[in-house]
Amino acid sequence: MKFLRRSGSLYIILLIVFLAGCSSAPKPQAELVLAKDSIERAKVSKAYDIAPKNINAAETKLAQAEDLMDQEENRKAKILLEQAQKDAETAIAKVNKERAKTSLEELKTSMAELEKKLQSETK
Amino acid sequence: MTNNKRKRQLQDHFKGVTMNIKKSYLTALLITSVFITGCATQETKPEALQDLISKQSEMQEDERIASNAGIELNELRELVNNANKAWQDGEQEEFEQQMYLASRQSEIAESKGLAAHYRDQIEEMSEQRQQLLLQAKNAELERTRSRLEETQSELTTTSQQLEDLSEIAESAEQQAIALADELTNVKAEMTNRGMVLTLQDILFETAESDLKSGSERTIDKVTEFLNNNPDVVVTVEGFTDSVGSEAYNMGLSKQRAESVKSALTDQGIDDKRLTTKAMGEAFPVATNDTPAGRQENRRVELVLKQDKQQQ
Repeated sequence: MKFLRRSGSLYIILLIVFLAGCSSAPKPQAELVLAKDSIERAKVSKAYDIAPKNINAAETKLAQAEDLMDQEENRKAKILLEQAQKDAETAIAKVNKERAKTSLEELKTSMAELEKKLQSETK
Repeated sequence: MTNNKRKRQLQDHFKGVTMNIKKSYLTALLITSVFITGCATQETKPEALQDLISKQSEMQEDERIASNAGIELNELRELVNNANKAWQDGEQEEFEQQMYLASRQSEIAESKGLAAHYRDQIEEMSEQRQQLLLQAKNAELERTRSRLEETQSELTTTSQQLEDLSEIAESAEQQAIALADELTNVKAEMTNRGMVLTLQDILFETAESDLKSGSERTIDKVTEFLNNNPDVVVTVEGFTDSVGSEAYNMGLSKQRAESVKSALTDQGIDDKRLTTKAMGEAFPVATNDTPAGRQENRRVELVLKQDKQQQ
């Protein structure tokens, strides 16, 4: 028991030393999943047409982050993945806004036409 | 036991060290925070952060965004606070990261708010459009109905007119037909102008407007008919064959109509009941190439109508 306890604390110390020395941070797996998911949804909503800058930035950062993770540069990777996710979400929001705007404009045009038509009919 | 004793000694020792560390750490922290606060009040915030903060409060004021993107605005506030804190703590990399995320978040909140605002407008306008279409449909229905009413009233007028027409025929038809049966040179015919009695050529010679002798019987019969039907008025229409010029025939047809009229007034028919009309050679009922045909074309037609004023 004593031996175990001692070797346990030794193991923990070793582990801490190992982690501190070898890798500054764990792999940002959650951020990777979130970024990929957002980018996928942005692609599905055809963000390339409306917010190409945002979706391209997101994809570039994702690729860079994956490279960095291979090199165990996890802290930098995490930063890029957080940005990539926000970029993709921005693209989605812009797409939704533009779609709504276009629909509204189309509706306005058709309303104007309808009103004009009705006016000419009542004359 | 020796181990434990040593351990306790070590622990005590460490406790003292940690206490010392804690004390000095606290002092350092106090100094740092004083320093930071001092800095913060003197040093102005970075322009990008200021812009973001003012943008955030603008959006907070914007009803379209505030009411539609509350969650997004909350996240923005959090990111801006993070950025602010990172700047105060002098953590440049963290500051830049939070600033980047906050900038994107401000775009997200704005887009989300406007999108919802546009969709609300779409919904509202769709309702208006629906209303308008309904109105248009009703107006169309109304027009159709009024057209129908118009047609119906026209129909009523027409059938009234037809009734008027048949009224003449009802009261006079039998007598007119009887008259035509009796006289070989008189034909009775129901036309769309009303009842027409055709007095044929026998009454006139070519180029003559005077009545031939022997037409008295015809005039007598017509007089009798008109006396029996006092509410019938007559249009006396004169026709010629094509011998002679058109203008000449027009005059001749007028004279023939006038002759018949004066023959009837001579018999005591009120001349208000008789109007004359020159039709000339333009309405032949037979060929003008044969004497028999020309004879048929030289004629006077009596168009019989109910006197409207007497109705």
